[in-house]
Amino acid sequence: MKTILDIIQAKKEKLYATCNGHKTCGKCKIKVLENLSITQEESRFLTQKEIDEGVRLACCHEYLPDMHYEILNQDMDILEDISVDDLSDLKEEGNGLIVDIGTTTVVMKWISLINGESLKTVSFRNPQAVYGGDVISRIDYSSSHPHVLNQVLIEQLERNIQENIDFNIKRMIVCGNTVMTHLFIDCDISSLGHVPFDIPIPSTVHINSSQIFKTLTKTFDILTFPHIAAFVGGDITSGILALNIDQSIDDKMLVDLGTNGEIVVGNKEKIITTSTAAGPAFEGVGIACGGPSIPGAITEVKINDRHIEYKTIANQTAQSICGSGLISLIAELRRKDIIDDMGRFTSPIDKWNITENIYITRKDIQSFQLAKAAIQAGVTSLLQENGEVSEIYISGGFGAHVHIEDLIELKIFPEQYLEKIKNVKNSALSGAYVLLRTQDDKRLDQIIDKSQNINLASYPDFDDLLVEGLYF
Amino acid sequence: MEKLNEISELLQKGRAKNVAILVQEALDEGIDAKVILSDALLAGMGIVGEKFKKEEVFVPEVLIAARAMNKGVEVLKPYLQDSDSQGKGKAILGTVKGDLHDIGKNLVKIMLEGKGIEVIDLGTDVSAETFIEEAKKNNADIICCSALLTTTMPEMKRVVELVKSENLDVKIMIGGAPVNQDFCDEIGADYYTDDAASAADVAKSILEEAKC
Repeated sequence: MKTILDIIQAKKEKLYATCNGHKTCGKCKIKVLENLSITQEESRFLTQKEIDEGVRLACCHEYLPDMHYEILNQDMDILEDISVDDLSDLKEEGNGLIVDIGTTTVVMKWISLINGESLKTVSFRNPQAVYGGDVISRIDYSSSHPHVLNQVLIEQLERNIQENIDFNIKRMIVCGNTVMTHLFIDCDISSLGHVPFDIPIPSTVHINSSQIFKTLTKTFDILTFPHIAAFVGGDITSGILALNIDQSIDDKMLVDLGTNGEIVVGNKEKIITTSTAAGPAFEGVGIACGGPSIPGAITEVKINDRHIEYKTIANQTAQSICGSGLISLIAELRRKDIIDDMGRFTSPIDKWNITENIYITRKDIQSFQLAKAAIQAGVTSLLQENGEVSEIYISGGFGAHVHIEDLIELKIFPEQYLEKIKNVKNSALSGAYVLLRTQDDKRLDQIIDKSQNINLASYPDFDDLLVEGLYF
Repeated sequence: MEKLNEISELLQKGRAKNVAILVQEALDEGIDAKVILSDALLAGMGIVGEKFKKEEVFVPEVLIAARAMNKGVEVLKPYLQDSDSQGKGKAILGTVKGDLHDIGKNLVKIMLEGKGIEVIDLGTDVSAETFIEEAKKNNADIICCSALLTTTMPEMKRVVELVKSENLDVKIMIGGAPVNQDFCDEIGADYYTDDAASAADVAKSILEEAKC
């Protein structure tokens, strides 16, 4: 039997299907004209209002010919700014292209090599997202459908390069996590899906564009970033480069607030990395009214007496809560004693409403709490192991939007770091920019040589830290 | 007994240090270690499990209560004889091969123990062969498999196949975020449950049926 989701995927229509048809995420909402009966699985995810309006989950129903459906999800707002050091003494003819292949979003930026200026930026939802929201579902999908994820991505990259062919690219730099980088070069990624999580090609890949893009008449060199570990990939190597952690005398820390929650601590001598399996709560997944950073997503909440103020992306009518909104909301609930240090509501309510339709439940707070505990335990163990650090950088899809005071309120970072924590914009793309201009790929090898990835679970007391981390 | 109730109450609140202190006091007062285990620690954990099922408490509270229980058990350990505590049955538990996620698996362990079921926890990255071997060795009634990664779910099917080919009299329960009833039916496992508390309920009913 083919489900509506199967058909949507086959047609390459854009729909956010986080669990890729396992009927566990409730995100692949569509509107149908036909009167389809509700399955038990989807009744867990849909409100009565949605059901009455004809909203169903695409994964739960068989596709019948002549069926009419409307896709309800929208595209993402993409973070595309970069921030790096002055490289103005590096001048050469021509242009370059830097590409950040994120699991959810892709950013392409054409750069003048004469003055380093950005000529054009194109960003889009990663077309692979219809085959699953996270890296594990992509690995799963590619094991039964080799080359598909490569093709959908390359097609879109190639089209954009072709449309901007006048920019005359000299070289292209690609950064992404291990799964994204390997899918870009169409390499089998099955070993990334299970213990011992071997990386097929851990090093930098130099490749000619003709091997990746079949229709382009002009050719150029392509360079990818090397990976530190299966869950600490080239995007993190790139971030280390952008933030100069590998050249710093003092110890610095980089924390990526995302599904894998990568943490880096180091200096010019030695770099320690780890990943924390925070889960997707920071991306709004598994949260009743959670969602991606799309127009209408709540990014910030303030509670004054009985009056609730909030901000949404593009100032549109509030539709969901995205990752930064969740952090802001939960910190504010704690600050105003609406929840206690265990995340329980202090008054007898089972949900707390921001608007009539958008609310947070105890269960949502629990999902967030588990994600926060994982990151917090990781940060605490690395700080214990390493001692003080001079600066902490926060990156990740929404790293730039998060308020530091909220992270401190939630106890993710110790209070004494309030002044030392900085939001960084797209650190991965920034590293690609540095590499494009300096062409110093030896420095990448040095970063890899200095880096050591550790498994937090083997840390003594880690389980205790994880439980401690549950408290607000 | 008041002392035991007090331990149970503190455990439910996750007060690990106080639980350890009071367990020691109870021992000093001459209360039998087995009684402390069953009437204070497991009883307290059982209440937490019930509340969890009714959504009166959530995963974080269960985890802090479990830590408190573990601190109490540590104190008791030297006093507990290996006198084959005639339990209500035995379950083999593990996260399947290729997968290192264990929060869900550990919750199931806590809930099963709260129901008085003896749990042999094989940890993470457990192959189908190891599940079968341990089930035979321990004469287990149930095998519980957990997985978080969709890439590792197929190992559950191998467990089912091995149990069938060896004709073992054991029920297979599966769970984990990507697992659902469809998958359970597809691979021919005996039971799928949505969360740790209902897993414990199902396990208990399996064992009760087996006794009849």
